[in-house]
Amino acid sequence: MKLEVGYIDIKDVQFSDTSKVAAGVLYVEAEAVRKLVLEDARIADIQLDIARPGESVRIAPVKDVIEPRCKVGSDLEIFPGMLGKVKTVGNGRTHVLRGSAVVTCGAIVGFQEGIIDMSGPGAAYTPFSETNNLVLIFTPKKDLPQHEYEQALRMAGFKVAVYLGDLGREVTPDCVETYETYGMLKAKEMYPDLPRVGYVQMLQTQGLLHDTYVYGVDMKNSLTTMINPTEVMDGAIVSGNCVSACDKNTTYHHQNNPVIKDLFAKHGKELIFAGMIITNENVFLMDKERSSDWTAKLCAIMEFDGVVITQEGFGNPDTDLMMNCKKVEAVGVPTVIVTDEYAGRDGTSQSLADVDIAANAVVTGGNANEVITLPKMDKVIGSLAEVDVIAGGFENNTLADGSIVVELQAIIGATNELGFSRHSAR
Amino acid sequence: MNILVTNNPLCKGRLGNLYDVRFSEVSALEILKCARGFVHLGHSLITHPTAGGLPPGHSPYKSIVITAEATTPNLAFINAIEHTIAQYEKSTRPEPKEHLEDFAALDFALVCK
Repeated sequence: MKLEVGYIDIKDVQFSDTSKVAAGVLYVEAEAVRKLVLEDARIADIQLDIARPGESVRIAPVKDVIEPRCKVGSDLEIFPGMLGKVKTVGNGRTHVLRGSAVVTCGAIVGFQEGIIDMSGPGAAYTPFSETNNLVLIFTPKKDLPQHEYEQALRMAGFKVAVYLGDLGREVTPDCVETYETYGMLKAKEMYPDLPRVGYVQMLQTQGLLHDTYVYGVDMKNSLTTMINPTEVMDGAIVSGNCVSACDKNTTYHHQNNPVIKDLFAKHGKELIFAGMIITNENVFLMDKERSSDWTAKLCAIMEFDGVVITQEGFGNPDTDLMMNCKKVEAVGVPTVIVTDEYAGRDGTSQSLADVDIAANAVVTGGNANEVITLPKMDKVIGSLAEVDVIAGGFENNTLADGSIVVELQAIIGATNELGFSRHSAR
Repeated sequence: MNILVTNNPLCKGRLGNLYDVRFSEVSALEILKCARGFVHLGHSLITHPTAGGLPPGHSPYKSIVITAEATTPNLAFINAIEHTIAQYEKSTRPEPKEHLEDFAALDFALVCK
């Protein structure tokens, strides 16, 4: 499969009478967006705001972040099976409004959404302090059940992202990158001496408000399967979950998965990016056994020389991670796993809920329990009412000067387990 | 029929057709300890004790499914439940008093399949 991605660099987002992209500025007609969102009768009201890099702005409680993209010159659509037609994506051409994002905001279950700071010490912990964000703040209809609120908010975010993404259809991109994968035999023929490296992505699927969708299918009901990495860039995988903010993969993370990007960068040079497996993280132990058995089986069938395994979430997914790791190693395929840590505020506790001797190459996204003080911001978009109950917050954590003390858990993407951050250790 | 050990009032009246429901009004930690008793007697865990995507001590509710039959105690299950209890015992977070319905709904969804 071959995907051309044209990046249109967006340097600012502004409200305007008409929606358009011109000279690197994304102009948004607020009324058009409002109308689009309010088509869903479950949403009583929607407010729009803009947050730019460097501003003294705190956004909370954030549910999802989505990058506006569109398919160009074909009948393919972004978010297939979810919003668009279910046709296989990952081929053809895609335009990206790089540097912009749609941020959905609303207290769905009160305790599992996160914070984005656009400046100050918290900004360094979230990639979305560097994007020009159109923030959607939802008010649901009274007594709307949580799972319906989640669905309404999720779909509204995609709708707005597609609406904005379409504005880039006729715009000439600032740069174009091409990503191409080959079948097993052809790749081996082309690069006979390079190792075949695979990628296993674990997707959060623990049930109500913890789900991830692939072509519109709730991944918890799927067997472990394969996907072409370019499909993921076109929105084949979307987030529907409200797990701890620090290590949930937002839809933006999926669209810009750094493991995929880095494997492509070495593809044909140091290695063959030989395939991608997606698996789930279920609650019942039998499901965990089945899914990890299938992960190992597919790795063996694909004859990978090595795989990278990434996790999403923490706690019981650590068990899925270890099962995947040791079973894949047992079929003779070396693994590198990417996870994060819940090692206590002082960092001395056991980092993962489950461990195995086979996990001997581990990359961490950081310690989610580390405490950070976030100074008061001039403006809050959304509400800070939930900031003491969100995962990573605690009682009375607002100080007299208006600053708040939280664990990194509370910040969107702070310890991302795809490695989507700039943090490192010495 | 598998056993459901729970302190979640939502599970109490609604899962009787699926499980032998053992409901008690105790803390989540006490539910874990109750499940530990079963596991040491040789019952198997059907659901993972830390399921739910919430750190220890964040949710007041806990529901765990275990087999009705007991065989030889399984070391992996013992490790899983002991590790979870150790984490809960370390948590100093006061039990939440808000969003109880949300916590109950999430916990219920984990075992209602």
